[in-house]
Amino acid sequence: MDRPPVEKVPTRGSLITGYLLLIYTAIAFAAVLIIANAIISNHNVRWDLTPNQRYSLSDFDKRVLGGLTHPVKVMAFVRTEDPAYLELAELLFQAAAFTPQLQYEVIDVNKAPGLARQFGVSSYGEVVVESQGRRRDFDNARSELLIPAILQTSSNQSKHIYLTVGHGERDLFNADRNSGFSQFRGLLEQNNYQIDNVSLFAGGVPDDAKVLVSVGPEKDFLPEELAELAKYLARGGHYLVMLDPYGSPSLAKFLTQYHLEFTDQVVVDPAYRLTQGEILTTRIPLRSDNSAITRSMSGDAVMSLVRGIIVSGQPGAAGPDGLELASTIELLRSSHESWASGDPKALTTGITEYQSGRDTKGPITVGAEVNLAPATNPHIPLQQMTRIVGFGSSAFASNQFLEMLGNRDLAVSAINSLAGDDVLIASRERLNRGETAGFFVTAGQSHLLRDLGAGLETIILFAIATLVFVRRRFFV
Amino acid sequence: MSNGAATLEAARTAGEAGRVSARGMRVGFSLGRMLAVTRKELQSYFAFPLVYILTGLFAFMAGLYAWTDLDFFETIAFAKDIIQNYWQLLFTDIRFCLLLTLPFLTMRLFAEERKLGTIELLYTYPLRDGEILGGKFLASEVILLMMLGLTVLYPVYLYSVHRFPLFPLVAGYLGLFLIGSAFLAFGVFVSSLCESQVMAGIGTILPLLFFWVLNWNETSFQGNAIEALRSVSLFDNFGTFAKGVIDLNHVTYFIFFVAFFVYLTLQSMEARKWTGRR
Repeated sequence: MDRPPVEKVPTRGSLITGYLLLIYTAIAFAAVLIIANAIISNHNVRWDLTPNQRYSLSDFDKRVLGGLTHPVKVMAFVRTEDPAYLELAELLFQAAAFTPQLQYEVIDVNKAPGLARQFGVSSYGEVVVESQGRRRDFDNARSELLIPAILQTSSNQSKHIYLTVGHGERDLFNADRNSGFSQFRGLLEQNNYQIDNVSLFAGGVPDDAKVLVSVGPEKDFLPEELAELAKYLARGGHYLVMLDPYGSPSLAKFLTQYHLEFTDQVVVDPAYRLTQGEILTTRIPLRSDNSAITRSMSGDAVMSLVRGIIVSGQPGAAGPDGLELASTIELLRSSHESWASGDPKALTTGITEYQSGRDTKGPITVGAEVNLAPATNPHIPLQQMTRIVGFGSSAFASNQFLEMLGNRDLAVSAINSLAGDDVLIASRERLNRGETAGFFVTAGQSHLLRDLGAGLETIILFAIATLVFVRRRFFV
Repeated sequence: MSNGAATLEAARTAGEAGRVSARGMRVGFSLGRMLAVTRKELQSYFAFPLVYILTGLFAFMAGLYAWTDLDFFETIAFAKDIIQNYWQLLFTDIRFCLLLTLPFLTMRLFAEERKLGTIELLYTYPLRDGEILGGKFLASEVILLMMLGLTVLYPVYLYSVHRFPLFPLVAGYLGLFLIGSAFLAFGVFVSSLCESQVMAGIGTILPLLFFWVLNWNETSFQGNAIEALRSVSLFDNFGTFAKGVIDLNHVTYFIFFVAFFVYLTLQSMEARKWTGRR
């Protein structure tokens, strides 16, 4: 590699030879690098430094994929120039590499409109997951929905939820933006639940019921209906009840036998009301770490017109039909600044002040779970116990409130927990991962960042440039 | 340039201590001689206003992006998931700032010396081509690190306002350093071919821009072609770093990219022996 002097003018031939040699060595070197890169990509290692390893297969993902017993086909109908689908494509690649049961195709809707029509796909970003003749679609090519969709289509379980009717319960088929509950029903269907109504008066709760649900009943339950409900609970039934203030007094009284006491006091919390909102619509900041239901929540619950609940018994306390209280969990509690108002006008006027003697100081329990086992055999597994989850309001699951903070997680996880579907609860935790890093700055803080970054640093550097210029121009 | 000459004198002394070939030339790569060239280059950088103006422009653009991205993030993304939204957006924008400024840093490395005739002087010193190139490249890397150091202000300030996960930023900054090094390697190569600084600057930016936009119109390509384009795209290979993920595949891609253009630059320097050009 010594550098000899150029002693003579190079000839045309030697130049051509030199350039050819140069091109050859450059191409050969490039080829070596490309092959080396290809080998490395086949033995790739990645370090996901994001919280909760957002861009890697989680333990939950691996559990779902590893448990696949039937082939699953995923078709993502996207616009390939849309960068939003890249995350999904990456997850599909990793999932397919993890299990041979998964096959996938990424299809450009513009290039394969016929295929898109065949699958009834009309929008960009729709993903179709198929297994065992079952199909599940989701929009916007969201990677976090892929694994739950695979889980739902590949699961063989038949899951029936029954809704009590005839007492002014909320309508889960009502799509009204405020008062409807259709989004809640849609979420449950996405989780593979079959939803049917049941009349307790006409015949009792069917044996295949995973969960019995009462969403905001207003009128009293008849004694015959309560007897059927008691029978269902006596045989280890799972019941979710969302009881609004002053709703269905007979049901509220019935539930006190199970140590779940719905009070006639409405929770008031000026400290945690929504911005510029009234005092009866409030965030519920305290939630239990002992329950999978509340652990899966990505944020606080938001409740409106919520009544307090008292868990009136300790484990071991006697219940009806030979049952005994096995465990209790206070799922949700309002803040320490809140109180439960006994003011009957509060509900209609939305205005009330704390009054000692009449009102109860917070925190007030607004969501609770009681689990009862036969007194003769108190150590049976949780899923075989009689389980009742109660919330002091139904509005949090309505179309108006469902998408607020942690409401969606609360509503769906309550069902999943009672149905014994821990995997689905874990899937909600996956859905929420990475979304907890909320970040708020004020306008002043944002402007200070601008002034420091684009202002101060720039001025200092330009000042130095000016000094250097002046020094060189006039003093050197 | 007196400081630079003195530094090179030190290099000459260091070189004289090295082994000598039968034809009286130095053999063996010396880190000391390379660092002497680096020192000379840095002194030359800081003796002129250009580097301050470039870093000032970079700080201005990056600072504006840091501010506007934050506002966008707060209003559109509803302040959810800072990794996914703010840092990914900001790192992608800083990458663009590097693309606009680094070619003006590298354009002078060889082209200016060739135009001023100082390259002949440089070649008279007992330095190997690799030492000269290594010294110049290392000096430009120092400036790149200085530029990236200016942007550390944003996470430091924002962390004082609100705690957030810092590890993903490590991946982002590694990605910025690697893509910046790739820009530098390409720029040094172009500079080694040109006599005009302007040509070297434009000749660096335009191909890099071309490679950036190459896979924008993806509908024009079939599946495998677009995947191939993505795998060789400087800009697509940066994506995982911005998300907070270090992917060995992408790290080696950038290292190989740098190695390839450093190799080409060495060949370009070598070619003067048989082409007779300076």
